[in-house]
Amino acid sequence: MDNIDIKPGDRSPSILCDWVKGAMEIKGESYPENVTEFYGPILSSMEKFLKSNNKQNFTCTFELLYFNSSSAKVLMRMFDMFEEFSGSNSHNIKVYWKVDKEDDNMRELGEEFAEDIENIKFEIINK
Amino acid sequence: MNAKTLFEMHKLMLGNEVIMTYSGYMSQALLTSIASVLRQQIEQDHLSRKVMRNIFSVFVEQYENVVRYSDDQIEDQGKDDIRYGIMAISKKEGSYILNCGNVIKSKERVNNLRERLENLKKMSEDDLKAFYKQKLRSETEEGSKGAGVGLIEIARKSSEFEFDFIDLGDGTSFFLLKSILK
Repeated sequence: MDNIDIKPGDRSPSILCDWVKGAMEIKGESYPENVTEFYGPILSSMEKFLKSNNKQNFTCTFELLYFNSSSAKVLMRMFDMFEEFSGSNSHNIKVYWKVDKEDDNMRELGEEFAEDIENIKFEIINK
Repeated sequence: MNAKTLFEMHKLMLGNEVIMTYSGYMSQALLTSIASVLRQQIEQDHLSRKVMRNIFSVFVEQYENVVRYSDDQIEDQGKDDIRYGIMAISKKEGSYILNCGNVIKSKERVNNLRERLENLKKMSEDDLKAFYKQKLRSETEEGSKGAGVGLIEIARKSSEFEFDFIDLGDGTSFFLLKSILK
């Protein structure tokens, strides 16, 4: 599977993904013009990777400055996918929600997602 | 419109402490530019990150609501929507007031939207959070081009919000949404 290397846009985050290393990083602003067009291919690749492998280590780091409600829907989809496949395919998935240490608001937004997560590690870390 | 009228509009806006207004056709591409100007403006007010992000967030969701749902639309312009609407941001006694408006042609959609907003207005913060999460997980509703969660986001991020539908008499209505952020 091809790695992902998307450069940051005015309103879309940079996305790096190395499937062999099992690491993904999403960083920046997220309110793309067309959420489906932007995240669709990433969600498909992610699903394919998680579905067709077993017992993989996969770390996903989010370092977001802002995300709109359409992007929140994508994030929720990703976390639900992690939860599902960590069970069915015995993956070891970790999510790091990276925030500026003074950014209590972004920490709260991460905590809101963390509330619903049971099967994977979701850690909020200060920069 | 003559230049004098434009000046009167300018004075009216200054009097209402309007820091930014836009009226006309709106597109997703235009949002990028307006949003960056707005961000620079609110950064000067030394607000907390939360308030600053909430103002930006309500602005983006209001803008996207107009771009996706206004019924005054330039047709056949390719895949990107260009729709008519109005937005105004003003400050009053330390609060930010964000308004948006657009035409809605169908009575059914007016009633549907009114019902949804009345429902959101009745909800507590916890109810809104639960409803937001439920909507993040649900399939996108038919006829909804966004995530269908924009209005809930506005309700959650606003300190208070109001809405109105003005009957234009020809079967169409003008929808107004006002968010106050403290």
